[in-house]
Amino acid sequence: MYNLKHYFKSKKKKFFITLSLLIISLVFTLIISLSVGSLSISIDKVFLALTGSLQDKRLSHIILDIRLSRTLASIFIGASLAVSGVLIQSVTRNALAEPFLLGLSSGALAFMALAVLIIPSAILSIHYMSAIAFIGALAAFALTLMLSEAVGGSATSLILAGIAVTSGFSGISSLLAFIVQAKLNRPFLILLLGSLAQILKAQVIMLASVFTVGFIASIALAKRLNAIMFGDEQSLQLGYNPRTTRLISSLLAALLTSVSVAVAGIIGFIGLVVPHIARLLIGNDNRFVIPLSALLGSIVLCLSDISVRLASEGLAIGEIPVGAVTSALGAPFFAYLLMAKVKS
Amino acid sequence: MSPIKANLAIIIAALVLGLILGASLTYFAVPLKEGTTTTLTTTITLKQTPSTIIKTKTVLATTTIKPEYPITIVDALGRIVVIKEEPKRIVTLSPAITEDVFALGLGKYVVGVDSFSNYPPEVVKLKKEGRIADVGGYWQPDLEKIVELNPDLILADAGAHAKLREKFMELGLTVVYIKGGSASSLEDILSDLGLIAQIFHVEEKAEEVSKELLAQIQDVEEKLARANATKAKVLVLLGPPSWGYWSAGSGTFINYVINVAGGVNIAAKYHGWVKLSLEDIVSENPDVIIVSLMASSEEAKKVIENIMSSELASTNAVKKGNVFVLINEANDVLMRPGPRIVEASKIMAQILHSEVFGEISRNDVIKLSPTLSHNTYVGESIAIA
Repeated sequence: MYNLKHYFKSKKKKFFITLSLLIISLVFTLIISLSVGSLSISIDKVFLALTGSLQDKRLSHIILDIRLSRTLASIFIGASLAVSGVLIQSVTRNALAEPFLLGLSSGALAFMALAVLIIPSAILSIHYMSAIAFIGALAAFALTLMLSEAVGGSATSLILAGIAVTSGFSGISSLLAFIVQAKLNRPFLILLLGSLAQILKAQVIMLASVFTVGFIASIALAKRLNAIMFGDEQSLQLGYNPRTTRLISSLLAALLTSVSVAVAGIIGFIGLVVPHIARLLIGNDNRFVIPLSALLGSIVLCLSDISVRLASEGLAIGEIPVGAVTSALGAPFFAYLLMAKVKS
Repeated sequence: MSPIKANLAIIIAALVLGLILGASLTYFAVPLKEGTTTTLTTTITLKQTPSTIIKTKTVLATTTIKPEYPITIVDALGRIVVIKEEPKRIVTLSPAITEDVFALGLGKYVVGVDSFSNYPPEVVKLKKEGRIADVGGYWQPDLEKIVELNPDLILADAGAHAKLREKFMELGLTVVYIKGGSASSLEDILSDLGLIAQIFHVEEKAEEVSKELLAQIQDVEEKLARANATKAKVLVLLGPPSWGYWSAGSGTFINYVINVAGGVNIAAKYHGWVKLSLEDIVSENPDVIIVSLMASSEEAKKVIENIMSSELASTNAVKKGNVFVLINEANDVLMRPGPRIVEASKIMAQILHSEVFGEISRNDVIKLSPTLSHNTYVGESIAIA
């Protein structure tokens, strides 16, 4: 008994050390992110702008209205995707599960295409399009959940239902996208391609509030998630209904991911791999994994966005989709961690 | 009264009149920089003959309306935009818009253009000298650079840049959308010119440019009508065939160019930008194939070789040697919905009807030539000869 307590204490200590290190790196990343772009701005000017005492109005306009929105968005989206990854991987007990498995992205795309087909002018408004994407993602998720519940609501049924809904909707969305492209006279997919470049303040506020709610709820669910990871039987023995856990967690994951999809399009890798990185660092206890994943996710996406800006500037090719960079940047790091773990 | 005294009296009267007019105009809060200069010029003309008084009065009236801001316009997205004062720092987000602005003589106000803008040559020169900034690619302009330039007007394309609308508004930037890439005819392009002219009160210049462009198009059409030329079936490929047979259907400005130049667009049964199937093309059997390419002449020749060795070899176009690849300027002209659409129509007319307009000889229009021929092609051409 003493040993177990001692073990938990040492884990806790390790968690707080890692947590503070990650918070420091996040702050650093944030400041770098504010100073890097088509115009590099020195760090002292960034601080001046943040405190509102920068004389150069245009410079502070660039920092506060373009870069800050973009940086905060990348932080909240990264964190949201990572947390929903933890939720989904826990309730499905599947290491390969990720939030997009629930049919969210293809649902969002299909609804967006449908909306543009019915009301072509909808494409002109970011607000409409993100609202539609959000509804689409949640609708697809509802379908997945209904299908899964209809066949018993087990971990496997959730995954299989997700696969069915995803393939259904992606078929529909490519078909619709093709029609829309022909009708609208212009490449539809380019218009939908997620980018952090034109994030609006209202969207940042939406991301932040959904993340806060999702994060607190996930922390509250951490013990239930730990229980379900041992199996549905064990969870029941500990007094937690596994179906309820699965329902609430997947709902939270869907909410977190839908907002991200609506604002920035599909960004892979983070939801799948960041939870694993967190587990490699701290073990499987979700009380620790969730906060660390959130921090790691935000750092990874913020760094990816910085490299997007650097690359766009250096190669003079315009904005690169950030989703492509997350994988390219994150995969080697993940491979390194994996090798280190195996060696030890 | 002696005639000199009478003249003097008229001059004084005119001066007083001008002063009163000017004062009353300042009272109505009209910026009078240009207004005052015009009163000056009127007094000079007055000294010559008294009979010009009536004339100068009208001059006064029209020129003092000129700096009347704010004005309200409706742009191509149907937005109502209020222009508070005459813009002095413009950013244009597409090559066609840059060409529109320069055609209207507003080039001196341009402070930023997209990366592809390279016409008129002045733009390239000013870019090199650093007097016009590059604000990034067509699809995703660099917002930070735009803000840095502190523009008082951004001219954007209703197609490519619509999604940036809300961000521009959040940043407090004034943006006006023109039809641009969604233009379907010369009329649409002229209405774009008219919209821009409205913002700067240069409607007369826009009218002048429009008349000139319309006259040139009419000239092409009349010559074709007089020659009673038969219409050729045309396939325009956007990019090399290896990208897929992308073409421009009805409702595109390229379709308009083909029609004006006395051709029938085989893609016109589809709407908008469309990917054709090989079967579609072969069964339509185009008489002329035109490929738009952003590449060198060496690559253009390769594309022609590819077409000749592909299934397209069975089309009339390849059999008759009517395969043309447009590169550099000829390609720019065809692909940009700006005032040079007229030039594109002329090039297209020359390609389609060399019997009327003379054989085309431009080094940016590469034609299938017997030297790079293929066996079947040589056989066919001998048979035709």
